[in-house]
Amino acid sequence: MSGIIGTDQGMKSGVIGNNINPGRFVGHSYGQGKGDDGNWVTVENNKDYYCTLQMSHSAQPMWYRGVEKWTVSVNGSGVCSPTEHSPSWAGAISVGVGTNTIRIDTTEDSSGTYRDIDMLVFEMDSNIDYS
Amino acid sequence: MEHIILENGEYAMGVFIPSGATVIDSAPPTKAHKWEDNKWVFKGFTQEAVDNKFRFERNFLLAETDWWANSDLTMTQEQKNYRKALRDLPSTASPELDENGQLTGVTWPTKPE
Repeated sequence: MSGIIGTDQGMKSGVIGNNINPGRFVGHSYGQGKGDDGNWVTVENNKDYYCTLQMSHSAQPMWYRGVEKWTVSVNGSGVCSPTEHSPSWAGAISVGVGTNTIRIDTTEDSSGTYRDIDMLVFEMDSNIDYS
Repeated sequence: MEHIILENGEYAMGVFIPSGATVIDSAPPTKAHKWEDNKWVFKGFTQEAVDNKFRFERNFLLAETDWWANSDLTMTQEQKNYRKALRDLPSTASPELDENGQLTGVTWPTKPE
């Protein structure tokens, strides 16, 4: 397999050829929100992960918000360390951590006007600019 | 992507299988299901989970129509009735959650056109 991924696909630019991992998708954490946490996604020691979060439903269309992003580093003991980040529209949403596991965490304080929170987890690849 | 039961009994998904974890063939139907004897078993929702789901759904429907109360609009009687019915629901409904995680025991008012 080979191909070209252009500038509209989340990369700045570049060519992905054979045998290069373009940021492997490793899991999906879903939670309804408002205290309903997502399922765990497993992550491996000594790797970094890129997580994107988006809500699927808003009580009013004008309240839809963009994708939120975290990165998570896993050390040699499975301890997961997410970057500090609090979405302005839902500050009580965060990345929850366990040993070799991460998930989307919501609290009772998170907004009742958003529901169905999806977090996609990708293994980071050094060939991709995630900024 | 695998469905995984972690060593502590919790469900996870992913491509990495942690030490002590077991790979199974499906995700839980709801969060009230536990993996026991090689199958998902419905353990029932807590009253707190039922209350949270009911409140969440009702508040979401109310928020969905907050814009009707904007100062530059006039609510119709049907719209007022709808919002009142939503506000009154806690006193009239007997919410439960079934094995599919769906609310029962609640008669939701019909949203006017």
